[in-house]
Amino acid sequence: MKSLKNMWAVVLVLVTILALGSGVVAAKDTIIIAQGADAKTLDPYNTTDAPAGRVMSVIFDTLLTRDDDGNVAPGLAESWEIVDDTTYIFHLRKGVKFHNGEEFKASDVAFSFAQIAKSPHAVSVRATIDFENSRVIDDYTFEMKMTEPFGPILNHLGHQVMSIVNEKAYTEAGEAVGQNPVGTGPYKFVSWATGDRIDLVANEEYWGTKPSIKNLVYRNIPESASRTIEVETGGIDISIDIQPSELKRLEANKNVKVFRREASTISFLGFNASKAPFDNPKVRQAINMAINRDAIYNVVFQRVGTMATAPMSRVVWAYNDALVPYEYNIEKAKALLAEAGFPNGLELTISCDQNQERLDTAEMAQAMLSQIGIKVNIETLERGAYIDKVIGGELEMFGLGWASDTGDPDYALFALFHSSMHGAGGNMGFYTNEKVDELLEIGRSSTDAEVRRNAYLEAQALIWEDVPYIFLHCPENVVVYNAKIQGFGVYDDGQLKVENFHF
Amino acid sequence: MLKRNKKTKKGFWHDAWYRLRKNKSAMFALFILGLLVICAIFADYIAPYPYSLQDYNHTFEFPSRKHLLGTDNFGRDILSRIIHGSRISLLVGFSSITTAIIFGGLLGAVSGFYGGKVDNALMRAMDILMAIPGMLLAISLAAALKPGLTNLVIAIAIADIPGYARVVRAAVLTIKEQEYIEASQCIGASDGRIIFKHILPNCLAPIIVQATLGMAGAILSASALSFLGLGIQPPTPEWGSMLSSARQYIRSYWHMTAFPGLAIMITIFALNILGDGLRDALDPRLKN
Repeated sequence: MKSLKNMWAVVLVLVTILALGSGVVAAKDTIIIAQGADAKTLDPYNTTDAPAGRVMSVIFDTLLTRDDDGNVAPGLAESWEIVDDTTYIFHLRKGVKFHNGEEFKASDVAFSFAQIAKSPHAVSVRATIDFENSRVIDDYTFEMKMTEPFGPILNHLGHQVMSIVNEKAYTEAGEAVGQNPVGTGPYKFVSWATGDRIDLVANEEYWGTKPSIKNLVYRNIPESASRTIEVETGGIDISIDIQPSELKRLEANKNVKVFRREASTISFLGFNASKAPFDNPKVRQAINMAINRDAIYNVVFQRVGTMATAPMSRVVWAYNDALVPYEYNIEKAKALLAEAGFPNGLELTISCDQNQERLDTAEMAQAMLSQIGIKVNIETLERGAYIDKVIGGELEMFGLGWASDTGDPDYALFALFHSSMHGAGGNMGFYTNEKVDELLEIGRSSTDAEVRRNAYLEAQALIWEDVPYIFLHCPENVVVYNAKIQGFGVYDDGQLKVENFHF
Repeated sequence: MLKRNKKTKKGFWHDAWYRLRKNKSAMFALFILGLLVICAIFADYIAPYPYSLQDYNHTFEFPSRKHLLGTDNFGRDILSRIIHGSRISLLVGFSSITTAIIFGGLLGAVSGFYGGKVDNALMRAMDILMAIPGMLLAISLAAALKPGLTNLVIAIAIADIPGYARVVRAAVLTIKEQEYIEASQCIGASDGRIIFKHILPNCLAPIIVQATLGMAGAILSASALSFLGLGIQPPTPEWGSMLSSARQYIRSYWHMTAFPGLAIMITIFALNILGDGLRDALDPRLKN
């Protein structure tokens, strides 16, 4: 009798283990995504941080989106009318529910627009939207006014900072709004263990393709090597931010698949033109000429992505493919530097955050510039302090990148090179060229594609010649995922099409 | 009287050296450290390549006859960088410990000698410093002071001061009750003279032991801070920062992390063994 009891106990234990075990192994209703940093906040108006953006992209929707070809597509707005250059009318989707059960109405759009109007992170995205005169026509119709015509505005409406929130939930959350996101997206927020993971659950009432994976987890794994190992061993299903050095190994692994696509980002070493001697184009050109960009492309980026051949990524339309590649010539660079008034070289500081690629780039630049008599100090700063100093114009040279999230040349060029955007606006090099300003304004205000294209082509040529930054590299979006995931796809802006994934 | 005193004092160090020499592992450690010091001093002559020479055609090379320990992601010779790195490690270890000893020793001596309120105030201040984990204190200081060699030394030294203050204070407390101190007080010697001439020299043994062990800790802290990007700035090679920048390649190019790691390990190991040996040699309880 006793042994029978024991046996039952053993069986019970075995069953439990099996149940638990299969729960872990075969629980294919969960996808774990790992990225290199935790989200800063899940309040869409309070950050443009990429890790936060990835999480928010599945929680929130925007009025419009982009299809695979980069064309504007319906989002929460089913259709839209362009009444004139400064008036747009959006017909909203009916029967859409927020995660808290509230119905999506035009008043939510108005409320969201009011937040966007206040957000310091939305400056370049909201462009010339006239928030005062935009209005609700009825529950499912919203009219957006512009203070000035702005060609690419429909592209901008798909940006993450233009997410639509629920008025009631957003107001009720108060200060804690960054921890309580309520949107209309395919996944609902469940919990957030700061620094570790964010748990989401499928939104059964989603208006679009209903997600077939029930649980979605975003984990924060800062170490690139650990992320790679985890995805190889199946501990996580999807890994984002992959170091180029890991790619070869991953591509040879049959258990994982690698998604690669040219990104809209350009990375560069910037000059602060508000400080002498970097206000002198000759100094910038001399430094640029002494940088062996080919070597940086090979060593730092390990030939993943492309070398920069224009001031913006070639995936952005109106990219100028006719620019003359920069020459690498030590002797000419020395002569140019002497001509600029520095025959004996100079001393400068390259600053960067703790991003390894930027650090490596700075170290290579240090060695290269020593050949033309420039002594380079390298300074690493904590990321927050670093960005503050960059936009405050306190640094001399700095490594950064710029992502053209909207896929439009206005986003790629205006903030970065227009003189009205100095500092916090995005022109971190404090670059000024009146002709470039003029061309960028034409590109921004015209709605004629041909006029815009010509303006941007010419602007790129002028910028390329002025060397406001040392344009280095256009990286790739690299996502590594478990080969068992079916229906894998990535949106035009780099976000995952999570709602299509299944096992 | 004076003469005999001197003789016994000399005898103590002589005996200690004799005991240390019998300790084979401690002598081996001393030999390793000697090699390291030579490397550090003559780095420019020993290193086969300049430490910052980047050769983009020979990146990620495994150890070979041309590059004994291979090359890193910039094609720099790892052996040369490790040799030059020993300079920084020893310099940081030595100078931060010296700074800590000077300040900690002074504070400890003053508080042990005077006792009472002075002692209380100083020791409570030390307690507060000790309550903050050393590494955390060093990290915050290094972050606040901007990264660099001098600030690295300051950060590590400050975190180490309370340890020395306590060791010295304990030694002073026992020594100050000795008759010869009473004697010098009787003949009217000043406090300063007593502390520097009679008390501190007699505390030397525990300080030396603590310093040898502490140096290992300081080198490790320097590597850790550089690993976190708060230490030495490029292109100066430092073992910790070499490790840090190599870690992303660890699975493909083991040699980039293995050798700087080994260098740190061997140095710390040698310092610890020597420290243990010195303690055995200098501990009066083992004298008989």
